Amino acid sequence: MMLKLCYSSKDQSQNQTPMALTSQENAPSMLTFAYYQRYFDVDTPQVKERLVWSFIPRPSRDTLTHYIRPSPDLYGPLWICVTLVFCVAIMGNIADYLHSGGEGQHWRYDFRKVSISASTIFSYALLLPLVLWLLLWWRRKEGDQTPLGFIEIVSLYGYSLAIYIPISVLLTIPFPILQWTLVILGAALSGSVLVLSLWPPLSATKRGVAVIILSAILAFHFLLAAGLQLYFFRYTDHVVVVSGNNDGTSRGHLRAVDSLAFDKVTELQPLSFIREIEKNSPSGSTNVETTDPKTTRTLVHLSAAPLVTGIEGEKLTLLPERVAVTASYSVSKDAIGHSEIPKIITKSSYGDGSTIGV
Amino acid sequence: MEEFSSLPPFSSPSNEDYLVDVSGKMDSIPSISKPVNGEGKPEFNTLDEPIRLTIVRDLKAVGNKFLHVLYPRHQASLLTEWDLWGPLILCTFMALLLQGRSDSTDHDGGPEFAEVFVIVWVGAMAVTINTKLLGGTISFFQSVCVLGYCLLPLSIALGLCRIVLLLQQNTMFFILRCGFSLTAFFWAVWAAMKFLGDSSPPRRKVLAAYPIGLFYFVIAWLVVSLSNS
Repeated sequence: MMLKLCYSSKDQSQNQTPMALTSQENAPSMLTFAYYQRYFDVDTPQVKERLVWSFIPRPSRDTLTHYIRPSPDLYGPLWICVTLVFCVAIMGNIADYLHSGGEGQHWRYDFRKVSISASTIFSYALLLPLVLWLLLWWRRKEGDQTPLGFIEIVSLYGYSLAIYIPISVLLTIPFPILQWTLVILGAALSGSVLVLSLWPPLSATKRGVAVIILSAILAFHFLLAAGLQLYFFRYTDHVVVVSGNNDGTSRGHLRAVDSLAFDKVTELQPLSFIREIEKNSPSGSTNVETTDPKTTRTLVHLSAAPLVTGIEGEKLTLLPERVAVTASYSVSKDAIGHSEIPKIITKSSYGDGSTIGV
Repeated sequence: MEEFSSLPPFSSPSNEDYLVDVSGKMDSIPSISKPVNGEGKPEFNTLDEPIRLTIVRDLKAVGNKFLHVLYPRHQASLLTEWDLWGPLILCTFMALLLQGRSDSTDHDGGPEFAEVFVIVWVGAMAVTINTKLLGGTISFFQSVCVLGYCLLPLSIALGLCRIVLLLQQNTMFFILRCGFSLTAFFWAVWAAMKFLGDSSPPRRKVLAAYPIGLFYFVIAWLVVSLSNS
């Protein structure tokens, strides 16, 4: 019996080692190291194969059955997720850097991006398989084929994220059409591999339910890709008009980044913004009245006061105590057709709480 | 690291005659003044020696390992006599240089001191656990030791980048900093693979090497993203 197992397992997958065989006879407990070693029992050619077939849908031989099922592994999903986390964070920073025009100095590494992308990606890779597995386990009926194992689903999901790594590199190119094309293409390819792989086990249930589940899977996949793109790589230009103070004596045209970018944990928007302030505001807008402290508050600075104190032309004396900025993001066009940032409200620390709306 | 041999304890010399006075004490061999480099184990009770000598000996061992990282020849030195002093020194050095300014807004950009520690140590542990799960034959601390010591090129690059940042920045200097970082990255990966390469199973070398590359890549990224603000 043992010999027969040995030979059949050797036929099935060419890399079945004796270690896996002994683990069948005495399954190690979850507390031992050997338990987890089972899920790292892959070789380099196997991993490469699984990576390639994770985004090339082939209806005749789906990835799960033919490539993953003999020995599902956790190596691939783990390192693909980690790579994707760092890749997205780093490429997001590079996108900031390129968008700011290549200033060599202000390229920063933000940890919050890493933690946000890590939570998103790991929860996608772990929670969705868990939900799916529970669903399948709950709906199984007598006489069905053996239900999918949890590790198999995690494996499948993990490998399906592999295509997002090169896509995230390409997403630094700042053309929205290209970005959306890449996102849709990537999500479609790996999503179709997911669907094709999960179709046989799900088809045991009622067809309508299966279709619903599969379309939900596909929808979440698209959602992840779109979410990553929107959160980390979104940059467009708006032309805005900021009026100086309430009587509108100083005006300047400023280019600010997309309002969504203010929310993001990137730091370089202020740089391009401030550059434009420097370029535009002193020449066009200085008059005598603008040098009093009230007027100085009209310049919008977004994150830290020191950024704006670099402006020489107007003798700005912004105190380091915060001028808190809340910007509301509806962009409307006035009669002449200029887009404005309406209602950039600055609450100054000078106490009079003047709000400057545009 | 040091062995305590079971010799009959000799009577402790007074402070000023540790320059050996062997008169009448030929039974025991006080070799305190002889620095050891690891080739011969000291045959005395190291508790009685001055602290300066202990520290110097340990620093020499650490420095020796640094040299082996820079010119990896003999595998054994890092693996059999592992210690974690070197990684700690390097990690502290890098964390000090990399941390962002504390008096500015929350994401001024640099990682906090503790964040660098977390990245280095948790990263080294993750890579080590990965190697062991794939079937590697190296012990946990040996692997962490090697990964920590191979941070040396990146620390050197970080120091150089910091010096470059003292000058007025332009694109040329940025490319220079990228060059330092990239060189250090490849050097670190190469050195680590020389030490750790033999310990993973033959068909899984790439699988074991990839997380090492990723680990050093993230740290190299931190080095590049150091800025003057």
